[in-house]
Amino acid sequence: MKKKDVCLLALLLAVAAVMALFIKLRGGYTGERIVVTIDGAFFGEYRLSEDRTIDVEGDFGQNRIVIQNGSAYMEAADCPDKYCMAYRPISKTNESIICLPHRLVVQVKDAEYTEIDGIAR
Amino acid sequence: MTNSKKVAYCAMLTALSMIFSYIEALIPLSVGIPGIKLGLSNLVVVSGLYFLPVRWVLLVLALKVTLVSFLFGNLSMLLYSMAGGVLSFLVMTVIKRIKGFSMIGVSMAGGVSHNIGQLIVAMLTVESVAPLSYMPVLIVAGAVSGIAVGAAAYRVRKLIGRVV
Repeated sequence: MKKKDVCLLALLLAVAAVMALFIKLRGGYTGERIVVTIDGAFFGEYRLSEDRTIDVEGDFGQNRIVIQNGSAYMEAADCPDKYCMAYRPISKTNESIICLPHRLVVQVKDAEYTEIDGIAR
Repeated sequence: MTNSKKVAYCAMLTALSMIFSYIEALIPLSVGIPGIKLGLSNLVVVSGLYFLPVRWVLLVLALKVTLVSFLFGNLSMLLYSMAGGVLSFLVMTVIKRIKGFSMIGVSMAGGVSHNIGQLIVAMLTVESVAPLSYMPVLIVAGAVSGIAVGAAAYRVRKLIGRVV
């Protein structure tokens, strides 16, 4: 490794650390609801306070999201990689579970409706 | 270097990249984070940059991405590999031209930009910025795998440098 290599590594790690800190500060508090979108379009919105099972049937495949004890997780998916099922349960604002093959995003939001949701509605 | 020699090296690197991908598919390196891989087959691209003309390396990359995606993956994998591959190729060619970077630095920049390219496709696919929260993890993972690949490429170059 040369000097510039080390500099580049330091720069990359610094950028990663700053971004991680920013994400940590932005989220962090307990969310109220989850918003499910498929291919960028609004699919549904569910309160984290009520335990329930949501079956999502999108154009790209099926997913089953479970809300339990204030957090949400992916219980089943018929995608090939199953990465979405490997995510830990989410409950803090801005945390998300993403199923790329199905273009599905589950994101925790707080009580207030954001502008994007308003449009999707 | 004669043209036939270039063709031979190009074919050899492509074949090697397919073997590396096969090995990686056999031994999944799981670190608990979805979607993180070592990217062993990028070794051929990094090595190639040091003894083949740039456009021949691009050809190796195009062949590698297409063949590997169809052998071990699917159409969406092709899209992700292509985005990551092309971005890392561009970044590596630029970094290589800047004086003072070793193969490890070049490969590190390549590893990180590969992950960023894939993240961009992910964001476009789900039409959301939600995947952006993976950026820090992907930067670190890209740097680590880039260093590993770069160190390996450096050894390879030392060994085959006399032959080529």
